[in-house]
Amino acid sequence: MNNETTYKSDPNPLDALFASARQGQPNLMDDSFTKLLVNSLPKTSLAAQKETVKKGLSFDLIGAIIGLLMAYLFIDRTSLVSSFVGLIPESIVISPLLFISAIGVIGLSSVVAWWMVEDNSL
Amino acid sequence: MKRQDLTTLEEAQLVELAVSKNDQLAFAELVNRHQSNLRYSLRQLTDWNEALADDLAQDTFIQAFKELAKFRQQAKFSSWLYRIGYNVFLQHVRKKALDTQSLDENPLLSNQIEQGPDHDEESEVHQKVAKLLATLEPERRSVLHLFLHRQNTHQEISDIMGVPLGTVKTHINRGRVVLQDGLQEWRG
Repeated sequence: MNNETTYKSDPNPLDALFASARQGQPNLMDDSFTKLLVNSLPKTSLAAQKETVKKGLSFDLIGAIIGLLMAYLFIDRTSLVSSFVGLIPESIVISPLLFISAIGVIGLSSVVAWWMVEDNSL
Repeated sequence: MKRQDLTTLEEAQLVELAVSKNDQLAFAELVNRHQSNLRYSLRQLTDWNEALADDLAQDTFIQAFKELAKFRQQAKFSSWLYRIGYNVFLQHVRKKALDTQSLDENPLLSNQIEQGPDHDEESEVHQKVAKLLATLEPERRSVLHLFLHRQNTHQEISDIMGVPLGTVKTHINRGRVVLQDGLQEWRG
């Protein structure tokens, strides 16, 4: 075998093996590879996509600013705040059993989430 | 611009055309220039799995096209492309847990190297190099490929792969020992 002879005679067989592979590297010219690739390219590059997103965002931003302005002018902020405050309960009673159950559920969820991340399921 | 005209352009001009005018033909020309080397490298990294290597090369070029605007012209396009390719390969390894067992741990792999596949002599060398590299873990495999095959310097490898210089040197020193042992077993 020619290639084997080449690297067997070299003082460092590993370098000679790689040199042999390098010198004999095939030219993988394949038009179908390029054609297939060009067909599967996204229609626009990331730069063009970002430009589109920017345009969309500017419209969203204008809408949001108009909305906020109208809310500022037409909504009674004092009553809005007091009604939110009214939603907050004055006291919360948690029984020991409920507390332990809540801790258990949170702990179990954490273990499951950790396991899924480690297992590459997420 | 016609495809024939594109073949005369510098890489920087092709990148500029592909980014500013979204010229897919310009990008196709870049693909034509680099696909052979990239596909060969990925074959070396995937234990000469041609179909898988081509899939990874496709993913690499698609990602490169999407990120082309980020390419800094002072860097070599091939280095930038290889960096994307290496990351695509690594993502695949993480997903599919490619076989990275050492020769000691996997006598079957050792036998495969000794026997070699049923192909002509020239392709046999490439496949045996790929089988040898497959005995290394993916990061070390890539370092050794870049060093021994592509003949990149330590600093270039560090830049391409985004790993510290010291890590590159360690990979090369330890990887060479494993490859030498594997080669000795192969040669009997």
